Amino acid sequence: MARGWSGTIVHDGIVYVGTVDGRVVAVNSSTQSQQWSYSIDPPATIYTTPLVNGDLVYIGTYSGQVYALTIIEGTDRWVYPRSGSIGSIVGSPVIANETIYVSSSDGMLYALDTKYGDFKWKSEPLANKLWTSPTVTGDTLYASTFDGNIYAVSAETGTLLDWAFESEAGFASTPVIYEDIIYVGSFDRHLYAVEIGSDTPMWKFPEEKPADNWFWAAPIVNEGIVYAGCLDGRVYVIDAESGEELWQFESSDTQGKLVPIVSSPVLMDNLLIVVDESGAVYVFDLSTELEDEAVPLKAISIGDDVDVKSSFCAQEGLVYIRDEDNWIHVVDIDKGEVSWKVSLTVEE
Amino acid sequence: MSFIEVWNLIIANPVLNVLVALSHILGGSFGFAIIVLTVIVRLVSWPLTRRQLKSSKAMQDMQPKIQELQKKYGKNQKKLQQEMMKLYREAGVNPLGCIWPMLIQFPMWIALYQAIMSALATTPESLLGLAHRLMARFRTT
Repeated sequence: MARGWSGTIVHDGIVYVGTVDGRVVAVNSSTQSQQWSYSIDPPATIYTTPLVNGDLVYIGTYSGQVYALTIIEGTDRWVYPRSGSIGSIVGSPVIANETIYVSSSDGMLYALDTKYGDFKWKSEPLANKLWTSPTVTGDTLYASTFDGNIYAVSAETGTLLDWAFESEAGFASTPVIYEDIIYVGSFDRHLYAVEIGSDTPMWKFPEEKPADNWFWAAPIVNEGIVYAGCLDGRVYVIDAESGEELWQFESSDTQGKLVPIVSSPVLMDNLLIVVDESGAVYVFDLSTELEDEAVPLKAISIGDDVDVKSSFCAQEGLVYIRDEDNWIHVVDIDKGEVSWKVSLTVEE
Repeated sequence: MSFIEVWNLIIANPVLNVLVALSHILGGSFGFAIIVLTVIVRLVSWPLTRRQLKSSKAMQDMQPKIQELQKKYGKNQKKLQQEMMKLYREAGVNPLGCIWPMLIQFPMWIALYQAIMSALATTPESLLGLAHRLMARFRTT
């Protein structure tokens, strides 16, 4: 059953998130209550994380529509398409150059004007379905597909560019670009680094024996280091250039069973924040030297029987996590505890 | 452990893994894998199916005698039941004999259906669910 796993985003003290019952909700972090709630009509499942740009918040729905809502009142400014729908939207949209780029389950990328939602272009079908987000760098859009391709598309016109990377295994994660190198997780249980323009991967990690599960979450790259969460319950920290493992962390429960990491890690200042599927939050201080079997600075549980599949965000010492029971948990890293939480189930 | 967890552990996940393994063996053809697994399930459940058919045939053969008893003891339900039980006993037929094999086969067919739906990964949840349910060696696409 499709329930969705919309993640959180914080902008000017307001948390924006999609709910399991097909609403977009703005939660005021000062009052810790819902500021507004917008119901998608007819109700739709939401996998995408809202995106704030100017005075609008954007969200794509599994019913195949893109909504632009005002951040103050939560009223719809525009909906694309004006009638009907495109394919289901699973990957979160991205914005660049006053254009919102959307990947769709019909296998195509769409470019819309951010202000009015006017159609700019759509790409040719790149795959049977596109469930990952596109990544924009300069005037090029990169999209990874389940059938093992990375396509480069002109951000201006939507035409397919000459270079594409082909792999035997499908790509599970959204591609991430750092210094002209694409980092992407694969269904063959490797993480790939592919130099743009090259036909062969720069490296794949692990080099020999694959990890125990898929690299589902998009990795993050910072200062030459790749941080990749894996469904095998480990976070792998890798040298971006050589592909060598620097250290790893195993996220295990009280019985010692490894817990999958579905959400991408997040960096906040010099802290690396990892949240596993059971809602355990691990904080690593990157300013200290971390070695294999790294010990987190803090390990905080947001509750028992919690299921976290959404992306989360962190800002000013707080981590905003949405669970599959429709709660937002706000974790205070300094205090090492859940500072407050709010249910999204009831429309206020 | 909940019923669903036990069901997945004992029945659903093994069937799913066999389906995916067959798909690998058959060169990635999911359609062939479904056909082959269906045949395997039919073969495994053949002794039960045969018993079910045998029971049904025996019940069918007894129909004239049952009708006779119904005519004779139609007004006396208690006596009718006694006579019918006697008839079944004498013929060595269990009137529920054709139901039990069916009930035992049901979970196998349900598991096969669930395995096909899971492997198709029609929703993001079902795709992610495969990562949890597949054995490590089959977690490649």
